[in-house]
Amino acid sequence: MTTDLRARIRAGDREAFAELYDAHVRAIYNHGFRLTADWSMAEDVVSDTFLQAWRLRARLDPEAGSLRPWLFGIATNIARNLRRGDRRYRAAVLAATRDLPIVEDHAAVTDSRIDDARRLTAAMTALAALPRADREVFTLCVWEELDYAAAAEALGIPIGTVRSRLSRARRKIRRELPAPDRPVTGDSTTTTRHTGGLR
Amino acid sequence: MTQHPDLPSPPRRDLPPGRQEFHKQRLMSVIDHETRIAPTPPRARRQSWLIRPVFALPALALIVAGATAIVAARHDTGGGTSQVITEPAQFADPHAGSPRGVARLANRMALVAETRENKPAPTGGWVYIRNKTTEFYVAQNDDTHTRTPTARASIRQVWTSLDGKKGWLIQSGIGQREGGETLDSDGGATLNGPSYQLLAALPTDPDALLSRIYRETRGHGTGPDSEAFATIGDLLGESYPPAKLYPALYRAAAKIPGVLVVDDAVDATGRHGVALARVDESGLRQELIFDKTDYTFLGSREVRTNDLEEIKAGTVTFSSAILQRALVDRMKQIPAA
Repeated sequence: MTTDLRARIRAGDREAFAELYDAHVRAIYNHGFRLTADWSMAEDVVSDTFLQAWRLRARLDPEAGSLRPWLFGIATNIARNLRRGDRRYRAAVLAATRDLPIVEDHAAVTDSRIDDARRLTAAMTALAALPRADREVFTLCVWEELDYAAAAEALGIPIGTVRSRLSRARRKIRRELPAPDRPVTGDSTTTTRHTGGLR
Repeated sequence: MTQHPDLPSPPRRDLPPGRQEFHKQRLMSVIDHETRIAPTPPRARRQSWLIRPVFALPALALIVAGATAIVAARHDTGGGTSQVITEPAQFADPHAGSPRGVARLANRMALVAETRENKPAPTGGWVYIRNKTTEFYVAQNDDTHTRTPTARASIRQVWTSLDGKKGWLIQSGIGQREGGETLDSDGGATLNGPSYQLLAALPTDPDALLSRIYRETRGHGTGPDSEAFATIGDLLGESYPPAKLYPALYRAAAKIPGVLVVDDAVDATGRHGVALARVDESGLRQELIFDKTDYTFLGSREVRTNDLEEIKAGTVTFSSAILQRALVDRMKQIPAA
């Protein structure tokens, strides 16, 4: 079935692109956010990714399997070009993580959820400090759950490079993360829980 | 997620209401349009999409180069303390710029730069840059249903250690946390985010410099020449090039195909200067602006040369102005003006 879609995409079938869009738009949007730390830019990534997929359709390998690595490869490249320089990215990460998961205004947020929130902020901040190449591998493999071969295909690099970049990235990020089971103390995160319902 | 129980995933979101459909319709209309113009599928195998002539649609221009985010509808997540500083959008002549006189101007700039003394290696351990940037966006008022071209302004103060591994940023207008934030990184400096040490080690021969720029930016941006020109801007911008590098930067810029002279360009603080400029594949004119008499680098600007949906030709989509450049002894130390 996927092969079939692939063939139709290569042939420039309009409906195939509509299907492709519907199936992947959300994933590309979220992937765009992780690479740019900016939801507006993530929207630009969505728009440009599918347009470019259309333009690059003839170059699509007729044989391979899922179209996800191909799309993620295009999206990664676009995100790369949208935000020149790591400094701007890091500034955006910090701005983005401030209102990240606690934005959900459930009054009864569990402690483990708050803990996740804090750990996520730490993870994104640590991610921002990584070289871009490591960051891309990390988001594809860990957050998009692409396997090594698919990530290698997306980024156009050897599998061994994916593996080494990923282990380096995870090592560094783990080092920055608070332990998952650490009890939540009375910090600003807890305060946010009580005010959350007021939004 | 079950694979990596130790690492939380960011929450997933849907596109804002209506936007998912909006982008789909646009994709479909591009497909319909191009199918009508070119009924046979393009043979793109040997052809880069970047180099293909933009005969069909401004849609290609959506693949916007560089740092400028074109935001058609900002969706504020609400509740944040974004403290956005806005100014009226700026506009410029979309047709400005001539290829004549590029070499002459660059030569004059280089000659003036060569008379500057080459100071010994800096003793302070930190580069301090204060600059102003503006970014264009269309502000949408959901109550009155009006859309206003606007510029979002920001003052940035950046301290960077000479090796680029440590840094601090204080930036207004982005809702930054009190006191600023670290820019520490062990990722190392690049041509697009150069440390003092990287700049000091660059070749001062224009051809050698240019070929290094092309080599290290291969595959970035909307095209090799655009990216080379943008990279010269990055080297001149939030950076501290040693005096000996300036002549090479100017001469290298003039050697990039497609470079223009814009006689009158305006930086983010309203200072007028002369610019070396280049229009990239998306129709964005990137301008590097210099003082008209001593050719000090003032800042940069990006001007649309064609309409991109509601962003009209002539819109300044990004501008910057270097306000202060100094070496200081400590991080967060503010030098005398």
